[in-house]
Amino acid sequence: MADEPRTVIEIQGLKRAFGGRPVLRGVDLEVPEGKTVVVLGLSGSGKSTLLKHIIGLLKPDEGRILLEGNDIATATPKELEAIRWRFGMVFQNAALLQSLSVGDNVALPLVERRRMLKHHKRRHPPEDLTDDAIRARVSEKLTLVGLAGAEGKMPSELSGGMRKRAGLARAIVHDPKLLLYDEPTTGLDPIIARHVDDLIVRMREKLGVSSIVISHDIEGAMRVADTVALLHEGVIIERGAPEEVMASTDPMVRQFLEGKSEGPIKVM
Amino acid sequence: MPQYRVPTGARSTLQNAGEFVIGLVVTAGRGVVLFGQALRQFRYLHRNLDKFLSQMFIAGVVALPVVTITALFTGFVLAAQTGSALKVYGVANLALGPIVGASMTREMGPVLTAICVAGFVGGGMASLIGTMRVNEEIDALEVMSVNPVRFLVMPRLAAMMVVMPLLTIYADYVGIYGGAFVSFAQVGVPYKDYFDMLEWGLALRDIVFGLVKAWTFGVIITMVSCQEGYHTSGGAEGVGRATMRAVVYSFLLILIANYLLFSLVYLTIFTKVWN
Repeated sequence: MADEPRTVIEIQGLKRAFGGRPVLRGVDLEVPEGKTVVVLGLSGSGKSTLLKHIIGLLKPDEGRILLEGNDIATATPKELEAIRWRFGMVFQNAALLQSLSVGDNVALPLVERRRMLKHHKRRHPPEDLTDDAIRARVSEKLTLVGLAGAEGKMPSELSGGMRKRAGLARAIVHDPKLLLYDEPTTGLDPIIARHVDDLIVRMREKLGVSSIVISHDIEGAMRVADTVALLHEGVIIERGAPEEVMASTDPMVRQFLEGKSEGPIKVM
Repeated sequence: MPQYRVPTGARSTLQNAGEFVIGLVVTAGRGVVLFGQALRQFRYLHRNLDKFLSQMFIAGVVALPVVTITALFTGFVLAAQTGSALKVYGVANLALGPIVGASMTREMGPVLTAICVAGFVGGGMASLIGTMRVNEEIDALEVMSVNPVRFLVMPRLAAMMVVMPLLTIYADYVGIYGGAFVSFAQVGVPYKDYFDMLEWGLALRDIVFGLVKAWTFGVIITMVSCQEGYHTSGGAEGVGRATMRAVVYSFLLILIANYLLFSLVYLTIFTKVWN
């Protein structure tokens, strides 16, 4: 079909075991351009392992992870560096470098890239990596996440929500194609959590970026997702538009959505 | 059939000892691998001079007060103990300067400086990098296409390669002057005799060998500490364990390397080249 959006990332048959214990047992997932896919799952369902495979921190036992046709699983370290430039990732605890100010944290991907470009004989950095351009971009992204003027603050001076927003500004400073969010609302109060959900929606609308959100926050997922995928014991047991998943009659899906301790999913 | 069981206490002691030795070997192996990776990143050193200089400053400034006190009192005790023995044979005026000088430059200066630096600087490296690991800051660097070895390890290694020999030269001076003071005040050897004989008896090869050792110890401390930090897991407790291991393993590897350097480098190369 001609007007179907392009796929940005495609995961095919991803399998991974640790010490003989399978954690991912054949995950298939794709993210169309400009869409947000939320992967929901209980703790220990393999969500974080899936994410680490997508960013190339772990290698799969089987399967492929294609980012615009390039397989992340078989990329060399050098290729991986280039592939990762198309990612932005928001970490669960923001993972801001504590020794740098917020502004320096947000500027870090650009500053380090400029160093490498200079080293590889491109003596004049591209126009968008001059000091002024970097400063302007940092300020623009901080404003976009609602942290205008916070450049000089240290991460330790920020609240949890502000830290997460600064992490988001850092993730989008180089205009990535794909944004990954690891538990974006965990540890935040309900109001800030909904604010972060709004930001995720705003990133999609303003930047047209595709996103994968790893979460167990059902309410947030329903607000931000174009597609919800439910991961359980290393396989995706349900996927679809939020309203389709909410209407599912599968007993495992119902138990997860309703948060019941009794049911087919054994928690103890 | 009677069951012969190893008593629980003895088994756990043996297990602990075994685990400790395995840990030491694993640390040394990982340190060598990380050293190779860091050396490959040295081609970017001139692009990271800011980090290199700040690491030099951190390592030098943090360790300087402790190194000063350690070297000063080592000089004191060397002069006092050797002096009292030499006085019995009436050769204190002749031998005290060279003995304190050789002991400081070849042995005490580099080893004690390394022990101080391992505790202060190495422990700091392991806890900082370990905290970055458990806070996912190192993962964040990788995702941002920033090589963590280039960003964190290489500038520290380069800085320690310069700072350790400098601190050792400083410790040698402090120890030798401390020895001179005690020689004069306690043993009764005049400054002139002490320094004249020191100049006559102190071999350049001892000073150079001391600096080679210092450089090697700097590499050991950095690699052990960085790799312990790099492989930290298990939250705050893990950071504590990594820091403790970094310091203890650095101490042990410094002492082992100290013997090996003397046997394999000093006795072969230094004594043959410098006769």
